[in-house]
Amino acid sequence: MVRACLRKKSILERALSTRRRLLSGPGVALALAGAGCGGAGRSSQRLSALPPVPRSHDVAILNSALDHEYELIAAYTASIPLLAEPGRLAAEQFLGQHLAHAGELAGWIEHARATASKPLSAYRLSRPRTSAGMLSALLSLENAMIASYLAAIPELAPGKLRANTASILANEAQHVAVLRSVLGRQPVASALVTGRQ
Amino acid sequence: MRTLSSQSESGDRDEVGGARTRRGLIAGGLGASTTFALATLWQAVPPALARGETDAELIAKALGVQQLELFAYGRLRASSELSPDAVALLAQLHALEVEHVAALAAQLVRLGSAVPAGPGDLGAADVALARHGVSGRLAGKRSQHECVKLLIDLESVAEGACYAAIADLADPELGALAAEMMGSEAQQWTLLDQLQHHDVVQSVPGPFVEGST
Repeated sequence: MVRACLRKKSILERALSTRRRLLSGPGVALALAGAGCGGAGRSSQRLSALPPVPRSHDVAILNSALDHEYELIAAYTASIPLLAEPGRLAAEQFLGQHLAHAGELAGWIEHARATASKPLSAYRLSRPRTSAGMLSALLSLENAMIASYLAAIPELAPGKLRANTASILANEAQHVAVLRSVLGRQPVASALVTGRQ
Repeated sequence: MRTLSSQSESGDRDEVGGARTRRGLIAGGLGASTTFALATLWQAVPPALARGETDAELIAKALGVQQLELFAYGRLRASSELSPDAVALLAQLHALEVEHVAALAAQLVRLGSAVPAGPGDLGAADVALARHGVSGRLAGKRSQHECVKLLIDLESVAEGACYAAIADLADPELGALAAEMMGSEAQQWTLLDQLQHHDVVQSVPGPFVEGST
């Protein structure tokens, strides 16, 4: 692991800000449809309901999850220009989804009138030399993210907040299946998603 | 499919309900502090308990969907219409459903409840599919496209069942198990969609998975 001086903070903040504007503005459907992100009603671009106001304990957990999402966003942002197809196409899709996760988490935190974490100015990322190596590194980060959400879910108090967090986790699980598939591995390694795939 | 509504819409709905409750209490002579205490108590009661659903009942519901999936995979994987790739995938996903059913049945036994029987025959399975809003039928000859479409829709139902259970289960550890299962159902949805459309982007269409109700 080496310190990657990515200088991504402004890029991330700009991307998140844009994403939040998109998600909160009337143009969301048009913007997402234009980006080819139609979900046929089964996977949504937004959650169907805002969870109840999180408690301070929940806010700490959500901020920790948000920090992990920022790290994944930085990793995808750094990797995409160097990835070969079809991994690159998938990674571009997943980056947009992680931005949506971060925007949603930040929204929940702000709903509790708390301060959402900001992205760091740099992240310690591994620097694989091959496209496969980069996809493996992304897979590891996705699995760590899933493990983090699984640890968080029993700790969160409002049931709706637990369910919405699981909604994000399930999307990360899809990322894992696709990344494993692109890497030539069995896409689903076990019957339960535990973050160790 | 679950109806999507914006955050502002659902926020408005809550506020309207809350305002109505406040007016009723004030008209009844209760003070503001009592109102606040009641509101706090209401928020603390899990919705399932408010409806009288126990963890065992919630797990039994989720198990019912998993048993239906198990039956559907068992039936459709034997279809002569499937390509070798489809046969292999459905066999793999069928094995996952066996584990899901076993995991939920074990939790029901731990909770002291009887494990319900899954669908006994095609007719019962088709009735259950219709009850869950799945338009396809298991009876009769189906093309591969129809078989996979039915299973994709059923995976959405399974995701929705897990999502609902996670929100309502009183035992947080059971909620975590349901989340692990929901992640698996989402992966299965993705693999079936890839088989159907051969499109990586379409197979992970949105950032939030809620399934269907």
